[in-house]
Order: sequence, then structure tokens, then C-alpha cells
Amino acid sequence: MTFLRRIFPFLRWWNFLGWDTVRADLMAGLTGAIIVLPQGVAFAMIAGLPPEYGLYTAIVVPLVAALFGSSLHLISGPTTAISIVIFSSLSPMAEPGSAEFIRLALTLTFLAGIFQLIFGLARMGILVNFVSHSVIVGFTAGAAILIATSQLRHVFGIRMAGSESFFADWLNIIGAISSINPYALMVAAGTLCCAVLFKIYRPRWPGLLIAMIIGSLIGLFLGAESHGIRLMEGLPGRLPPFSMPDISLDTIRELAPKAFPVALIGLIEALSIARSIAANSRQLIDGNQEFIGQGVSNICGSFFSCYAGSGSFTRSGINYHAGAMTPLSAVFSAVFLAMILLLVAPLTEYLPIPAMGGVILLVAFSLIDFHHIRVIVRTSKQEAAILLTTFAATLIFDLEFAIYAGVLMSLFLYLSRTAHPEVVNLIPDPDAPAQLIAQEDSRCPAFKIIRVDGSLFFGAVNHVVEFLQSIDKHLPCKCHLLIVACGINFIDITGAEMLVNEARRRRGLRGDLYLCGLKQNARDVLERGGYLDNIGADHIFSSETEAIAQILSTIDNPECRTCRSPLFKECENRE
Amino acid sequence: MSIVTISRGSYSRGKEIAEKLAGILGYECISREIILEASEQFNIPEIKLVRAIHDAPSVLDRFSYGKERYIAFFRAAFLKRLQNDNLIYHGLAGHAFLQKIPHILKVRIIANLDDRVTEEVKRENISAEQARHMLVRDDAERRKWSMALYGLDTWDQRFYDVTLHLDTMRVADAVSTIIHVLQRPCFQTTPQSLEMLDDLSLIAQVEAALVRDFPKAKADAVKGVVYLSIRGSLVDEKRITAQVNRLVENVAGVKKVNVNIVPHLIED
Repeated sequence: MTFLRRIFPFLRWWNFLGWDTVRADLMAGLTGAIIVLPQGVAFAMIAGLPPEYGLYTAIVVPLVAALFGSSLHLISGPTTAISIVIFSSLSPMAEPGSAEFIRLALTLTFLAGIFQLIFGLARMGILVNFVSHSVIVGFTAGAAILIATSQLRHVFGIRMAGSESFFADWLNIIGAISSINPYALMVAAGTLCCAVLFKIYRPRWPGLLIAMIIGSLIGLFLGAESHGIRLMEGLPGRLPPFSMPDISLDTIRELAPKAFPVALIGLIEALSIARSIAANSRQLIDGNQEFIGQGVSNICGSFFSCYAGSGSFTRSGINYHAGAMTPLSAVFSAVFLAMILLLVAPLTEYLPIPAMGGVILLVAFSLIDFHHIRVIVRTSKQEAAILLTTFAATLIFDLEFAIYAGVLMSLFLYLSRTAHPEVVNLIPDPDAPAQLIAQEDSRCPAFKIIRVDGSLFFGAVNHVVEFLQSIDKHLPCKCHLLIVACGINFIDITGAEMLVNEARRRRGLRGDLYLCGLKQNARDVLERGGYLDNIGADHIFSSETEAIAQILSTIDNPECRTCRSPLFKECENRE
Repeated sequence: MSIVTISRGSYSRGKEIAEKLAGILGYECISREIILEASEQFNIPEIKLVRAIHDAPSVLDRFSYGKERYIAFFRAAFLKRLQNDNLIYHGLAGHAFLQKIPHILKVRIIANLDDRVTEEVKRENISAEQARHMLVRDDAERRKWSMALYGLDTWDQRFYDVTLHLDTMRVADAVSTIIHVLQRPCFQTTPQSLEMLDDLSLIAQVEAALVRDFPKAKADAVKGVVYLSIRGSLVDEKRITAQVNRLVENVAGVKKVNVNIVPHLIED
């Protein structure tokens, strides 16, 4: 059974089902289906695909991801970030909305799914942990600005050619400001106002859907088509049709580099949302299983006319807050959406594109996480730099480059942090001499105590050596050094050799090196490599008190004899 | 001061043993009355209760919790009655509810299938083949019921203190053996064992009060303090807690209620 549960993870929660959970999931599923309807259409437009592809993605992808993923509440499907990455990746290769563009999008989805599945099977879920929250926040904020910019032409009713550059888009818009269509602007503004009001006053209502209906009514009232307002094409009222991604070697070679960032963004998005909701629902998320779920859903989706999907924060949040208890809510949502698609699809031809633009503006605004931006800027300059870099890279360069830039910067800062372990000077606490406290420097002329907070590995050795040598520069008589090693979690061979060299150097200076509070695994490394013999097994102590007593009893420094204000209580008893 | 439960298959002469035992000890002998009491107390049709404690749950019952609901009512009435002490219960489900109570003597009566068939033919005026078919089906249904709801096999001797085979002894011998066993100190009611029975009864009353709205509610109780595990979304924690408190506040013996929301169950 355990084997079966590993292959079919839905068996893990199957026994939890009952009429109460099914009822809760039905209600949450219905809410989700209504929410995703406008989003699916909007996101497909962002991705440069016909609107029905967004809905197909909102039907197939969440269903498969829910059954094969780990999170009980994550709702997958079309998302803004992935939509915009798909658009920016494929638009140089084919005309958005064309058959060629669709073929490439399906193949990209298939390849992204394969990447995600491989990541999951290879148990690489841990890698996503290296993408910091600041990267996600910066990237999402940048993507939100790009999305909003891409919709301004629809909102203003301006006819202009699309460009590949964010700044060029703005220049085009400013240049065309005199040709704004006031009717299109009225429809967009009316829709946006409604959506905002619903979001504020009735957050649990399907505000986007109602706003779009109101936008359509405004369009009808104004006589949309006679005033040059473009209307959407009617959606085909059918279930996701079977499709075949192009799995030829040439296409794979061409698209694989573009599929990789789609896979990466999808996984980061899905896992961070799943974890964020799990923090409230007290569920433990299995990152690798979530990867597998996302991968399988995108692979399956590519055979059912779906483009790449991932976890949606809005829909997952609504799903959880609507009382969903199991992934069946995603299944119900997909079924309801399929029914809605069959019944009301033709009505979408009354939907003015500016109304859709207004809705997308709100969606884009909602993506900007102002709260976390404030927290990051206030808390850490390094994190703020990562955020700003990712944000700027999103606007200026390709989206995948922005993610890589953010990830690389995060990794660089992480490595930099671990390569610079904190080294703290310690002295006895004047109020409780048995305790050591951190203080700038001590007045003891012969003996120094430091604590190293971090691992002694090849990357950190240089920093520690610099610190140790700086002691002699400023205080040449302090030749006896005790390292409190309780903060050293790991020592590698380079670290161990550094300790041996330091011990030798100090002996040459008429001092010595001592260690106390060494963790067992660090001690094992020193023992196995024979380093302990060089440092001296009797130079390793279990506690600071024992170490200080032993070391001070052996120190015979001429300055100690004339010391009038000993720092250590052990010195007071010396003759 | 003792309680005896007698579990038996149909026409295994368990009723006869129970009645004789009650007569000798001067104890009350109960069986189907519990169903009537539960039916009256919780205002539900008797036939539904009978089916609930006899037939194994169907696939549909798994989702509707119909069976669990009726069993909760039966269990509440049964345990409340047991608090009176000095009684013999013979019939369905008794041993399943009392596994945790040490001083209750749990007896299993086994009879030869041929003897049971003869007895049924005599009483029901049916053919031997029909009787045999009915008895086999009945036994299988009982095992399925117990397995489905409690994971207990009614034929597993570990769940009984004593198993008596009527193939090798008469009814009087069986009664005498039970009386002899009942004299042992471990089967005498003590203040501690009575307290355990009171807690178990309170758990059953609380679960019966909740079963209509929260069929999967699991209760535990210690001296009137009730600990409830209710499955539901944490988003609804306040509403569920308020509703549970409202439903449980009138159950006699409840001093305090602690509600723990169980939002999910993931089995590895």
C-alpha cells in the first residue's frame, strides 16, 4: 500500500474523505471555477494564446496537479508569471495567437513538465530553497509592471504595434496619447472600478467575473463596436481537445533552454504558495512530490491543449479560505469550469477587450506584494539589493534572465555569508565570572578567547585566517588563543589544516592554540585526519571553564606577573 | 458487583445462558431493550438501529455515515445502561464497545453449526438448507460489521476473556463456568474501573450529541473534561468550536470541552 501511495499520492488522503469534506470541497470548487473563468481568459491573452487555452489549462492542469501533488489546497493552472514568460520566450519565434505559436507553447509546456518531473524524481525539491523570497517578490513585482504595461493599449483603445522592450512600449503609449479612445477608456475604467469595489467590500464574491459582466453591459450601452471598441472572439463551447506537442529533436533543441526557466518559475511559484498556505493549514509539504505533481500536470496538459501552469496564489488562497479540505476541491473546480465552458462560452463574444484589460490591471496590481517589499527593504540591505536587481532585470532583460540573475545573486550572498563566519571576542562576565560574554577586546595581555559562529570549510578559511592574523598585528603578546568551537557545525580538511597551521604558528610565537566545546562530528574529522595529534589532544577541552583554568595555569608570561587588574578570576590566585 | 457481556452467533443458546446466569446472580439481563431505549432517546426508527448494528456498512455508508450515526446512538444508550452495574448483556456489538474496560467479563459462546441449524429449523419452521444458508450469511455479516467499524474480528478469541464451546458442555456447565470466573477479583467492579466506564459513557454521550453534525468527531474524557477532535478546515475553527460547544453543553456530566480541529489526514 505504501508503494501504491507513493505512485498515487491521492491515496494518502483518500481515507479522509466523507460527505462533510466532499460538501466543503464542492463549495470551494464552485467558487474556484467562477474565479478562474476570467483569469483563465486574461492569462491566455497575456501569454499570447487564444483565450480558450487559458480555460483548458484551468481545467486539466489543476485536476492532475491536485491528484499527484503534495499540497491539499494548492490550485494550479494558468498564472501571470508563467504566461508572461511564455509570451516573452515565444513571441520572437512566432506571431502570438498563430497556429505556430500554439504549437510552440504546447511543446514548451511538455518540456517544462519533463524538467519538473525529472527534478521531482531526482528529489531536487531542496534546490528551490535556494531561491530566496526576495527574488520571487522582485520578479513578481516586475512581472506585474510588465503585465500592466502590456494591457495599457487595450485600456486606452490605442492601436499600436507591440514591441519587445518595456521602455519602447511606454514610449509608444506616450506617443499615441492623443489617439486615446474615450469609450474604451470608460469601459476599462468602469470594469476596473467595479472589480476594485468588489475586492474591497465583497472579497469572497467572484468580483472579477461580475466586473467583466458589468464591463460588457457598459460596452453594450455605449455601442461598443460602433465606437471602435474591440470585442473578444466567442469561445468555442467544447472540452479541452486532444493535442500533440512537437517532440522532434530540432524543436526540443530550440525550446529546451526556454522551457527550463518556465519549469523553474513554475516550481518556485507552486512550492512557495503551497508552503505559504501550509503555514496556516499545518500541513507538511513534500517538495519533491509537489514537483512531480506539477511535472505530470504539465505533461498531461500539453496533450490536452493546455499551456504551462503552476500554483496560483489567488485561487489557492480563495480555495483554502472557502473551506476546501482536500484536493477534490480542485477536481470539482475543473468539472464546474468544464460545465461553464460548455454552457456559457458563446457569451464571451460580448466581452469588450478594454474590460478585460481593466480586470488584468487589477490582477497585475494584486501581484505586487507591497507588504513584503516594505519588510525586505526595512530589514536587510542585501535582500533589498536582490529584490531591486531582480525587479530591474525583469523590466530590462528577458524574464528568464531576471530569475537567473536573482538566483545567482541570492546564491552569491548566501555563499558570501557562509564564507564569512562571525568571529566574536569573548571575555568573562564581570557579574558572573564563570560565563563568557561578547565584548570588543580584553585587557588581558597574554590570552585571547574567540568564538567562531559558522562552519570552518574551504570557503570560510581565508576569512578566519585573516582574523587570527589580525590579532597578532594589533596585540602581538596575545599568543595564547582559545577558540570556543560550539558554533562550528562542520570542519572540512582545509579547515582542519588551517587549525593545525595556526597551532604551529602560535607555538612559534611562544603561545598556543586551544579548542573547547567542539562538536562530535568536527572532532571526528580532526581525529580521522590525524590533525588532533598536531594540535594536541590535551589542547581540546569540553567546556570553557575547564579550558581557561588549564590554559591560565600553564601561561608564564612576564606581563602577567606585573598585571594589576587581572581579567580572569584564575589569575587572582596566582603568585 | 460485575458486568458480563455475552457474544454469540444466532441460535447458539447464548440467550439461554445469559438468562440463567442473570437468574442465579440476581442481575438484570438485557439485550434488545437497548435498541428500544436508543430509539426513544434519540428519536429514530428502531428498524434503522437494528440494521445499523447488524449489517456491515455499504460503500455508500462510507460517505453518508448513516451507520456510524445509529451506532453512536446505540452505543450511548448501551453504555449509559451499563453504568447501573450488576447486569448481563447478550447480543450484538457489546464486546466491541468495551475493550478498554478491564472488569467487564467478555464471554464468547460458540456452538456447533449442525446444532444451530437444528435449533433454527425447529424455531423458524424452515428447511435445514435454508437455515444453514441463513446462519452462514449471518455470521459473515457480523464479522464484516465488526471489521469495518472497529477492525475487530468477532471470531478472534483475543477479544474475549472466556470462550465456551457448547459442543462439549451443556448450558448449565457454561453458566457454572462463567460464575466461577466471575468470582475472580479482576472481574469485580472497582472505583477505578467504574470511573473508566463513566468516562467511556460520557464519551459515547458526547459523540452521540455531535454525530449528526460531526459524524467523524472523536471524543476522549477524563472526569468530565472532554477532549474533542473534530475534522474541519482551520478557517472555520471559531464557527466549529462554537457549534460544538452549543451541541455538547447540555450533555450531562460534561464539565469542560476542549476542541481540536483536525484539518487533514495524510497516510504514508
